[in-house]
Parts: sequence; C-alpha cells; structure tokens
Amino acid sequence: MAEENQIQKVEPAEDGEEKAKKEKPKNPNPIVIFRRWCKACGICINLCPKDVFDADEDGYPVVARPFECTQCSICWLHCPDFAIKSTEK
Amino acid sequence: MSENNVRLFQGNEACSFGALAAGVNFFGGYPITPSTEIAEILARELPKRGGHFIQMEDEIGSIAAVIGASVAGAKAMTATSGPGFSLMQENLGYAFMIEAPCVVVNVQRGGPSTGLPTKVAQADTMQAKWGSHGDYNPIVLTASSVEDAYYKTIRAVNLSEKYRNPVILLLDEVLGHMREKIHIPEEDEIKIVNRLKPTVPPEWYQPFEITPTHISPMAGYGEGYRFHMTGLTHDPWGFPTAKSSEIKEKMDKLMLKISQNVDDISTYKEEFIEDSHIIVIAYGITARVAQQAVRIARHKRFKVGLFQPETLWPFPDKGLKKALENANLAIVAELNQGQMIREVQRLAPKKTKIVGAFRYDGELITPDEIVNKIKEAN
Amino acid sequence: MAVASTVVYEYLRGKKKFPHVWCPGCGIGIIMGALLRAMADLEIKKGDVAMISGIGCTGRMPVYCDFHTLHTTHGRAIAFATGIKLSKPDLKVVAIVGDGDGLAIGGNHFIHAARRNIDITTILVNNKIYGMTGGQYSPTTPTGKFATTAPYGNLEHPFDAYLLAKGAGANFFARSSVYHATQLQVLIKKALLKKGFSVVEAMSNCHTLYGRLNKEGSAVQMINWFKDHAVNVNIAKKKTPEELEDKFITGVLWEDNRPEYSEQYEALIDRLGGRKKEEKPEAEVVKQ
Repeated sequence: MAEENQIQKVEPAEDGEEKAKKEKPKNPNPIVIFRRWCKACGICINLCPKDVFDADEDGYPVVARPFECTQCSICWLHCPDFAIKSTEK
Repeated sequence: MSENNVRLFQGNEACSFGALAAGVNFFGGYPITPSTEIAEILARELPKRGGHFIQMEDEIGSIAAVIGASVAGAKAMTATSGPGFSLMQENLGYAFMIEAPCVVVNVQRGGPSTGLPTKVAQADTMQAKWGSHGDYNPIVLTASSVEDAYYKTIRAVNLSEKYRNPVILLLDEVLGHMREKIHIPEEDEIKIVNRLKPTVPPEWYQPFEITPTHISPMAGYGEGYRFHMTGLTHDPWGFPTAKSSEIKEKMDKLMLKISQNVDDISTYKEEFIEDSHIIVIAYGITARVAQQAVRIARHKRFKVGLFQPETLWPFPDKGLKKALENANLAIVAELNQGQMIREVQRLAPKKTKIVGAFRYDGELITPDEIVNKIKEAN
Repeated sequence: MAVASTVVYEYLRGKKKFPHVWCPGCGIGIIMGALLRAMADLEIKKGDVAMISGIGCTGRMPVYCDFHTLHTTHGRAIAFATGIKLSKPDLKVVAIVGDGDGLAIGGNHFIHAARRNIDITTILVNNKIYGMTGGQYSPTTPTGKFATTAPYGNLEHPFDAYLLAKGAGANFFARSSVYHATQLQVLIKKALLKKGFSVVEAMSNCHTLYGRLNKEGSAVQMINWFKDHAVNVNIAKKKTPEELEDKFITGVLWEDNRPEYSEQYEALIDRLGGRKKEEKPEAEVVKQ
C-alpha cells in the first residue's frame, strides 16, 4: 500500500459569530455549532442530559447554558450533520 | 514460431489462453453453457499465475466483481452466454458510465430466454450494442476461427485498457466448442496495452478528467489516489452532477472517445471485393461459411466478394460503404432473423439490392444456402 | 473511546459536499459518524480503505467519506466489494447497504458473501423502509406497519438479518441503533477487526417516511424509541420471548472463526507458486 495518507484537515466553515467567540481568550463555550451544516433536527437539544441547548426561532440549537455542559459527548456523537464540535474533546 | 507452440484448441480454450496472454488477472464468472470452459480453464490457470478467479452467485454478481476488480486495478474479464449476458446488462451500463475497462465474452446461443443452450446463434448482435439503458458506446469484437478467438481476446483486453471502456467479444456456440489447430505466439510477440495511469499529484486527480482524447487516466485502489466513482451522471471529479453543461460533457465524452477512434477500433476483412458486384456480408462463424460460399460461387463464375466485419460495433461504416460502391447485390448472412442487415441497409447505396440469408433453427448456415441465395437474387 | 469530536473531519471529503443530502435528523449521518470514529480509533489510513455502497439513501454515504469510494448499482455493493477485496486483499473493504438494498435486491450477494466468508465489513442500515423512492415497504418492515405500497398495512413478514447472516456463515454479526452511537462505534470497530464477513446492523430512523406513515413521530421520538426498545444481548438471554416481543436485541449476536476467503485464495496462489510477477517489458506487435 502506497504511503500517501497525508491527512488533510477539512473543517467546516464557521460563521462569523462563532469565529468571534473563538477569538476571545477564554471561551466558556465548550460546544461549537456550525450553523451552515446544521439542519435544525433537534436531536442535540433533546438528547442533552444537562439541557445546555435552546432552540432559536428557526429551531436551530444555540448554546444557552454552557456552564452546565459536562462534556458527555452525546450531542456531537448524535449529530447526523457533523455540525457540532466540542472545544475540549 | 516453433512447432511446440502448436495446439489443438477449442474456441473457448483459445479465448481463455488469449486472455491470459493479454494479462487478464481477474475472472469473475457463473457457469453457463456454452461458455463454461472459459471459467473452468481460468479457475485452473489464474491462481498459478498470481491472478484471481471467483465463481459468483449469478451473472449480476460476476460482472459486479469484475468491475470492482477493474476499478481496484486488475485486468478483469467474464464470460457468459445469452441469459447471463441479459443479466449483466445493468452493471455493464455501470461499467460504461464509470469507464471501467473490462471484457465480457458472450458465447452466443439460441434465444430468446433459455432458448437453445447447446446450439448456435448470432442473435445478440443488437443486444451487444443496445442492451443496457441509456446512451453509451460499446466496442464489440467478433472472431471467426479458433486462432482468431485467441487474438481477438487479446485485442479486446487491449482495447478496453486503451479506451477505458468495456469491450464485448461475441463468440458463438460452434466456435466455442469447435477444435482447430492454433499457433500460440511467444510472449514477446504479443503486444500488451495497459491503461493510462495518472501522473498528477493526488489532490489534483480527476478520475473523469476532460482530455483532448476523451480518455482519462485511471488510478487503481491503494495506489495513492483516492477518488469517488458513481453510476450517477458525474462531473470530472466523479461526484454526481445535475448541471446540464457537465452532463453534456460527460455524455459527449462517452461517445467521442470511441467514435473519434473508429479507424483504430473498427477492422474488417475483405475478399475479392475489387471485381465483384455481389457482396456477401457475414461475421463470426458465418463468415467462415460465407468464405466457402464465395469460393463456390466464384467457381460458378459469379462475381462475388466477401465483407467480414471483425469489429461489429462501432460498425466499420467506411469499409462497407467502399465495398458496396459497385455492388448491385448484397447478401447478408447471419444466424438470426435479421439484425446486422439493418446496418447494411443503412450504409448501402440505393441501387444495391439487399437480401438476407438467415438461419435461426439452431444450425449453421451452409455454403450452399448462401450460394442458392446468390443464384436466386442475381 | 478517546476519539475527539473533530476526528471525523479528517475523514470527510471537502467542504462543498456539506450539508449532506439526508433529511434533517436522519440516522445515516450518525451511523457514518460512528463508522468514521471507529476507523479513527483503529488508526486506519484513508488510502487503505475501499468503501462501496449501493443505491438508496444509504448509498450516498461514500460521497462524503475520503476513501476509495464506489457508488454502485442497486443491491450490488457486496458483489463489487467482493471483486475489490479479492483482487486487492490488503485493502480494508467496507460495504454500506440499506435494508432494501442489501436484503431484498441484494439479498443473494449478502448470503453468498457470508457463505464465502470474504473479509468485507458490511454496515447494514436498517430503517425498515425504502426511503429514497418514497416509503415503500422493505424486507424489514414489520407486519401490519404502513408504507406507501402497504396502504392497508404490510401483509408480509419481515426477516431477521442476524439469522440470515448466521445461517449463511458470516463470521460476525452485531446490532445497535442510532441512539446507541457509542455502542455502534465499538461494534463497528470490532467488525473492522474481525476477519471474514462481518455485519453490523444499525437500526436507523426514517421519520420522514416510516415515522410519518406509522405515526412514530419525529427524529427525536424515533431515536428515543430505540432507547426504550433495545435490550442488550446478555440481558435478553434471561428474558422470555414475550418480554422481548417488541424489543430488538443489541450487541454482538454472533461470532465465529471460519477461515476467510481472500486469505485462503492467497494461500492457494502461494501453494501453486503463482507469486512471481515482475512486469515484463512491452514488446512489439505481431498480430492483433
């Protein structure tokens, strides 16, 4: 097998808002949602055991209670759209 | 050529050894009369040469495995007959779509349906061209003798590799089972063509790159290039597209890579064409019969010539047009109720009378039958 | 399970392919995530994987994964995969099939790949319906359930892919669901490691069609249904058939160690002295 597996990192584009948040020195937000990939299915909002997410008026999840997050991974493991990234994991 | 290389071979044997000589290293098949010997021989010979043989669960699986192996980088082939050929049509269309080089040998038998498993026919002439749905451009070769079957198999493999296109080789029951003397050439006497491989960096590689020749380089699996292929109409990267410009580009590519190279692909044989105003047209085993018929007729002072398409599709249009320039009678001999005759009707000048010499009762047409047609129609 | 949330992005193919084609909340995305994380877990290189799919919603998965990918005809993924595995035995071959794709039109290939025990890891996405064509009943649609071609309830009986795979001779069969994403990942990992034909049946939700026609609710409700109706294989052993009536059993249901086909074939080549193969130089034409 040829040795060609240079892994290219392909990360989804982030919205300006999220980028801005990221640039802050200490980000209390453990979860990043890529709004452009998200289809507002509601799975993360409903499966989160700590009720971290709220839905906005369009049904998209927003991280409403970041300090509740325990990094259990349930949201991003169950996101069918690869639209959730944990900043710590 | 040493005498040691002379063998008494069946057509199917010749085809199998031709395939091995051409570098075929994968065969996926399913038993079907009258093509089974090819599978049997390759099951025995391939592993001895580091190749792979597999008997799949049906012909659909056979052609699928063949295409899979081809995409992975092998020179792959399958052999079948009418019913199996029908089953293969969907995936054969897939092979045309993803431009996977492979060879399908169809040892023709009587049809429709189960038909005549042990009797001869040439009734898949049109199916070989139009069998799968959609617009595509197959290469279909024929062979008329055991030795010819050997070389045509090599040519089929070479053409499939060169044009990145499936190639169908139409044999028939009589040829498949007939035994004749054949000279096996030395290995270094055989020209082998291998598919074009990409040379670009992996991230630039397009499996369906638009090139001036319409032939795109093809990487195998595990060779450093990762790519997607799909039976959906796709862009040069291999991803599904719905853009009409890209769809047209793809469809043109499928047609043009063959139609631009008809002169390279389409071959034919002629005998006594120059002084003849009667032309007998036949392919495959029937051409052998026609050859004899032409000799008999000429002995009886008929000005008869023979035109034998070796490549059935794309049809040797130019050659036949030229052969029929001075003809006032064309006899089309074939083992069906009139398939190739349509091509002759399409190409013949208005003055030429076209007569079919058809036989479809499971037996070969005889030279006398063709001679009688010549007498009747002249 | 020490896989980071970002690891999947290393296996995804380009930004422009996303968002993907599946409906909001479709479980196939979750299954794909579990598969990619399992690959990452095993540190499998992208160039060593061939991913083959058939037709249907499931069939679209390879577009998004940066492996050698082949999107084939309906039901034939496993047959194509067989050819690939046999001719390139070093590749890790993964076939992605749906319930209609893999068990109805492709049932024969499924059976015979299992019988041959060729080293293909099959991910069987079971959403109990034909999704892409608009909700017709499939071989796994339960009796009495509704589909667009079963407007009065399905009269046919579904079958259990586990019994089929076991009966046909597969080396490994496991089942999980999109709710059990972590378990799914672990099971896929086991399947990838297992030599021979291995199947992971991933129960998935088609709330758009199956859920709507059978009033089983949204994606979230259907995913929660999986939570409530899954019984681990070890617990299921202690339960009566009545207790397991409307449940499905998860975990490794079947494991065997029959010899693997492509390995045996390679051994045959060695035995016959077939492994030499230096390329001979191109010679001139004699006859074509």
